[in-house]
Amino acid sequence: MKDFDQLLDGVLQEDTAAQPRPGLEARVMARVRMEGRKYRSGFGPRNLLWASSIAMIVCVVMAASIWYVSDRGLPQPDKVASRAPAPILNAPAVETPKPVVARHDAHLSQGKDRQHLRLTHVDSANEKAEHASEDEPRLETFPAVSQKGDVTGWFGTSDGEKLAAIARGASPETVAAYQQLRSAQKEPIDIAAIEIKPLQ
Amino acid sequence: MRRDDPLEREQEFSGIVERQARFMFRVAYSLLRNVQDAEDAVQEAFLKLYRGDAWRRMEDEKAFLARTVWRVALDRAPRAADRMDDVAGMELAAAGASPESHLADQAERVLLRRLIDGLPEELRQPLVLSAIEEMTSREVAVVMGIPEGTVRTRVMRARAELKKRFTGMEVRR
Repeated sequence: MKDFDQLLDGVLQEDTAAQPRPGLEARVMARVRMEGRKYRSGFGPRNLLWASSIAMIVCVVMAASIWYVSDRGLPQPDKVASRAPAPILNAPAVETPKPVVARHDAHLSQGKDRQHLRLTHVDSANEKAEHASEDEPRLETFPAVSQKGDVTGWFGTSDGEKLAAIARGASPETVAAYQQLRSAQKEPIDIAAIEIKPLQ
Repeated sequence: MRRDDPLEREQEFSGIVERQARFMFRVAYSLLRNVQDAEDAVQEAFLKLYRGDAWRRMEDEKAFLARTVWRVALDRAPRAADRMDDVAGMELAAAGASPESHLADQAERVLLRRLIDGLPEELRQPLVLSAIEEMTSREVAVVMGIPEGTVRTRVMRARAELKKRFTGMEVRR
């Protein structure tokens, strides 16, 4: 089978003797130079890799900081906006000062009302809120203590105003002291003559 | 990291392209059997090399480059194979070819080439690479990543297999 071996070698040599079209090296180098320009202009794969890595790190840091802030319980604008309104039952009732007499009437009538309310079951949240404000402890005196000390706007010189001030809760000693101060301010002030003696 | 002038780098690379482009083409062609595909494989291989720095550290330049283009050609081989005629169909055509229409020698060559294409890859690759004049069996072993002794064994098995198939077809004709 010497013929077969010669034939096979001949076929293999034909295949390996194939030549590229002219200018293969030039075409390869043209593409290589184009690739080199990409590198020099900063858009090479290595620079893109760096840029994407830095962007990813920034994203991770931002996500971590957001998570940290939310974990600490600090208020987030979106959370505050999306938070459901708290039940009115838990909200502190804001009351405007009412006249003492009217308040007293309401207080007297509430005993019956409360009993009536205990018997009737009310599901409405708004109605519950109204009754919750009624369940709050009532003030022993009116107005509140913080308002009691502020007496400057209440006192006048007439006896009627004095009585009104006492009725509002100010003590008689306080009224007397304030009146004394007001009368002292109304008296004329004497200024002694200033004498300057010549130097000896 | 080694950083130097890009132009100097380009010139250095240009020297490698001038020296080895044709050799790389033959390696790619032995697998792909198509000039256009082989040229594309060479260009792709050189671009891959240029993007990295491994080409500056290669010890055996020829073996390194042959291995690089061989891998690229292997990725393209299925696409090239799609353009090939079916080997079995060619066998039938060769068997039915009349002496009047083809020269006998030409028919034998065509048949043998098709039989080579029909070999298993583990036998065909060392056979065609060994046929490239510039490549020793050691370099073929480096390219394929197998021991040198295995290359020789596979080449012998490939030749024996081809002879068996070729003789069988000659008898049928």
